[in-house]
Amino acid sequence: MLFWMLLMLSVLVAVLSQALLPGPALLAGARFPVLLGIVLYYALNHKPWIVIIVAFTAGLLQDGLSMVPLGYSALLFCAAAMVAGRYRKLVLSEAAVTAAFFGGVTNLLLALILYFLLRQGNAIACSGGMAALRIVGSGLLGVVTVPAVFVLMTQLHRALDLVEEEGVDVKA
Amino acid sequence: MREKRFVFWLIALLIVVVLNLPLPATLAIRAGMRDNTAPFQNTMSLVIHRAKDLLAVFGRTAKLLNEKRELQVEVAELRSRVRRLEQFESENQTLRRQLGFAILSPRRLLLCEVIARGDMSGWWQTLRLNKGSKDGVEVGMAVMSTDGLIGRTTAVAGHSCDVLLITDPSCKVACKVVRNGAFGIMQGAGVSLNGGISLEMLASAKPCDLDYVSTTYELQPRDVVHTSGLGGVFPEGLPVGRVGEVRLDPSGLYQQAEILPSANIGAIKYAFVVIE
Repeated sequence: MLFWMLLMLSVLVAVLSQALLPGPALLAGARFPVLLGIVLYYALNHKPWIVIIVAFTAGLLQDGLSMVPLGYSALLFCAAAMVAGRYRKLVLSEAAVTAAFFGGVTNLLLALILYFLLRQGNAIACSGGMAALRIVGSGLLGVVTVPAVFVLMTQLHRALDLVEEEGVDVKA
Repeated sequence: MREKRFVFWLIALLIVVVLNLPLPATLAIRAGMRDNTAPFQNTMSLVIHRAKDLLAVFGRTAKLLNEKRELQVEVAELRSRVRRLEQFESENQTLRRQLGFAILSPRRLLLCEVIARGDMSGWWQTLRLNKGSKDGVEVGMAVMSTDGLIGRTTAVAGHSCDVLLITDPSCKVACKVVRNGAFGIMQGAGVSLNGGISLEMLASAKPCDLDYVSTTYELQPRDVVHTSGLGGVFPEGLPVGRVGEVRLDPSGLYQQAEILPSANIGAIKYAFVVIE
């Protein structure tokens, strides 16, 4: 129960933080990927069926609160979570480098795919140069934001004794 | 194991359903999400504003008292001007009636507070306001600050609405130059990377572009630009900005000009939705 409450609360706080934090002008207004950080944290530290629920909810919230067509981010977050989850046993999930690498690469790829999807639907009208800067900026912000989210989430889970061990289910 | 597999297939099915939802259902889901998160955003925005105000009070008490005195004088002057304008309006309506012209309906301005800045995805320049359809806001209404036009409403929920800013490249506004009546279409030019940085948006908007202005009109820097009312989205006569640099389009068929918006878009706390 406590696990699910923390999960819902962290998604809500991530949504509000992402909405509140303005995107730096030097990165063409790319946003801090707090929600993606939450998704990647669960993907690298928890069971796949929990991760897919988190990814779907986070993606749907991101789409619902922005002008992106509903379902785009949900699909991309689920795909990212599944790919990250596949490599969870091969990496040191608590290392900052892992979080930075996954955050940077995933956010860059998500921004790139989202750009092509939106461009195809004539939903955006920004220049190619600006879009390229925003995509690269998304990658950089992923490198910065995701490790910070990982640290916060790890501390919270440790404080509440909700750390998941291999083969042992969390207290639900 | 079977239950966990079921969760995967259920989510996959949900994604397919969500991607193919009809427009009314999508709008209803979006409105629900916005309405449920708006109170939290409102609270956060309020806390931030209050904290800023508190810090400002500690730092600048004497200055604030001076500003208060100046504002009181300004309010008194403006009240006397409003009284005079009311007399003119009544006189104007009488004359219009005598000449058989239609009486112009007054615009109602709905005061709203900005509760979030920028689109969550980062691909559009938007603001979120704390008023929605329950207060009479509809999609496509003009939004102004005290200085001029800032955008139009795009998505409206019960208690909040999103505003697409005039600086966004996907926002187009039919405009006219007040001095000579030259028409044109203004389009946002996006965010400037090397301009002055505003603390609230961390981004300064580039001047907008005014296109398709006939070469028969001479445009001068600092000419005042208003909405023309053509196109049906923005009502006529809303102040937009001033002309900056003027140039001829590469084809030579029409003129282009930079428009410097009157409203300080990076630092807006309150906005008015124009309800006609």
